[in-house]
Amino acid sequence: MDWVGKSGSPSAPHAEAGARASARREKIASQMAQDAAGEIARLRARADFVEQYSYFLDLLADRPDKRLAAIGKPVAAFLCQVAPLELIEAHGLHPFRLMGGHQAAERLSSPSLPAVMCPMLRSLLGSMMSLDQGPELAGLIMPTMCDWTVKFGSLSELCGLKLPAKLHLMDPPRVKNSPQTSDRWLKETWRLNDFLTAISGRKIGPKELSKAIRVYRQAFMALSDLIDLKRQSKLPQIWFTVITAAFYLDQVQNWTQAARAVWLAVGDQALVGPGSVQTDFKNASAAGVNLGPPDLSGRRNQAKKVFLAGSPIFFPNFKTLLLVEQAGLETVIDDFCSSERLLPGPVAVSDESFYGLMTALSQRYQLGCLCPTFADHYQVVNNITNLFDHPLFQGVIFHVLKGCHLFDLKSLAVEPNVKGLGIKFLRLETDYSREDRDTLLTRLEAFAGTL
Amino acid sequence: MISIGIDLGSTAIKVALVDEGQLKWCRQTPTAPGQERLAGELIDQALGDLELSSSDIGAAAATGYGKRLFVSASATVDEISANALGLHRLSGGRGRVIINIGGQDLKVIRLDENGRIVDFRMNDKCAAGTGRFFEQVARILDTRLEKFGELASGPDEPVELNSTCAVFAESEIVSLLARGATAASVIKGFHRSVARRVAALVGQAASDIVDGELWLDGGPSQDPGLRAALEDELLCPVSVLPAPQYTVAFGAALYAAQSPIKA
Repeated sequence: MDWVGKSGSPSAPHAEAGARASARREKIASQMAQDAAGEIARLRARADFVEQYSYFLDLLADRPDKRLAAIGKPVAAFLCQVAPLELIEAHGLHPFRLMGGHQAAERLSSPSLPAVMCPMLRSLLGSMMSLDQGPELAGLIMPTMCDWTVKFGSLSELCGLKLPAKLHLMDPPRVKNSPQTSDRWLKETWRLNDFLTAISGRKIGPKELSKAIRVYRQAFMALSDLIDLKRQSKLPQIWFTVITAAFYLDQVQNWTQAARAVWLAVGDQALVGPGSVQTDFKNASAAGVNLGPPDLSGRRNQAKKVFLAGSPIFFPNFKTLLLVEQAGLETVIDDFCSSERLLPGPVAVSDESFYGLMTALSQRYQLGCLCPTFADHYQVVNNITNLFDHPLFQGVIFHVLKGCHLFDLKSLAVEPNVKGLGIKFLRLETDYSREDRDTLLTRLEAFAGTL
Repeated sequence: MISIGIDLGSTAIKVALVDEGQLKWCRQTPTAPGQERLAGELIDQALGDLELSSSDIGAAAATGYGKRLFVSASATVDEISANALGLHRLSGGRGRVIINIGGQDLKVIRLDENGRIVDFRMNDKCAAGTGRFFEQVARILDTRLEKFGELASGPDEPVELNSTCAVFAESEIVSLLARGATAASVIKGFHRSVARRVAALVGQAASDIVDGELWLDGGPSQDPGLRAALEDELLCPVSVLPAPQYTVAFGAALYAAQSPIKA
């Protein structure tokens, strides 16, 4: 199925323009590939690189369409972290989050889009335009979390794109905590189940869903352990982000195994921990993998610790992460849906019936969602302020992508709460361009000086 | 022992020599390719003027957007911290809020009583209100920046400059001049538009400012018309140092004096 809308053969007068458009697409696709390769090369050259990161870098190095084709399962793409991954997996589909981190891609979509707009979606649409032939998608799930996602279909049309698959709009409530919310969320989960059944041709029961929940629970445990390493300054944020950025690019079991290998390599936990670790350790040793932790003691001693919040960060646009590092700051906590909040948490199951599993799944995603889309944002604010008791933690950097109105507003709500606790707060507004690097670095360095 | 502060800004390179916390010498030169060489020439000039040799220099710190270009500095410091250090000392500890108008940015820095940075804000990616904006208006009006203050002190009523975008302001000013507005009225209107932009950045903090706490520095702060417009907008007195364009370089020199020497 084409990502790019093509309404029949181009007429002769338009053939030349069509060739130019095609050449432009190729040029930008080539730039995107260069940018990704450059970022990966820089990451590999870092002093804190360990071989266990290669798995994730290799996944990111592939073009997503080729990578998805290699997975060997039909793909259900989605945009926000509200669509329960377990439910998609249970239907025999591979869940793939649509992401846009390429600045070059924006050049393709920008002429057709509003001037001030979410850079992530602008980049995503540009990335889709850059492909002559996109991946086969079984379905497209669009939770309507913000105005941009609500209008994704219209924005795609503006860019001349044909939606690559049947679209399912999820309609989560705009109030997070009300008596009606859980019911509505549950209904949305059932509606999604109907959609997935239709596109997969597979009606699932408790057995399939229970198995998928177990698989993702393992992934969550691996993610949690990596978060712990980050808290201990053993796993730098940049590598953590690389690992989470690759989450959707392989079967979840493979990702979990590779995440465990990182945990073994950079942690001091080689001989303790969850049941599978001993096996992992033996396998890694047998494969000749160096399990010794890299020497991060200098970084650990000198860097000032920060909480990084706000708009998500997507590969290969690691500008903010790198500048934070360059300013002598270390991110030990983040609340990005692209990073620490990749998974909402393990689904707590008390009723093994299909209805019980669906209810548990729905509740997990409702409770775990910290998106600022909700009218009652107090929980979102509290979730940040409550973390300030963390002993490693000295200040908050709130990353706002220009055009991301929800996080912009959230930053205004969080700032007085944070400052009221005597915690330093820096709002960092940026986009995908590189021209503001110097001015951002100045702010970050000065902020570091205040901690 | 002498310490040196080098502020490699987007429009000018400033050098300050400090001895025992006292400013001994300062000069600037326009920013151009070869920034390290240009800064080095200023330092040589300083040593010559003060009859010193390079062995008298204890430390040198670079700041500003080009700070990493001056590789022989013993330390680098961001310009916000350098500004805070410099102004705290030069204001005798009275400064609590600094408005810095640099070549390509606008900063508002809040300090505590010990000169530590409490908070700061900077302009968005936009040249409006920055030193570049001043230069642009001077070019359109074909008037030297040094004359702005004098022209703004006259009786002309300020024009209403609706746009605070540096690009659109150009066409707006050209249009105003074509309709008969005087240069003086345009400059007054320009000062007012910059003051409004600064006031938005100062925000609610303005209501807490006590007399003597608000200081303006950076190159454009030598323009008395801007100072008057700011006082009018913020409704509180604005203090300006005698050589406000050197505050950041001076702060960098103080920072250098405190920093261990690079091996």
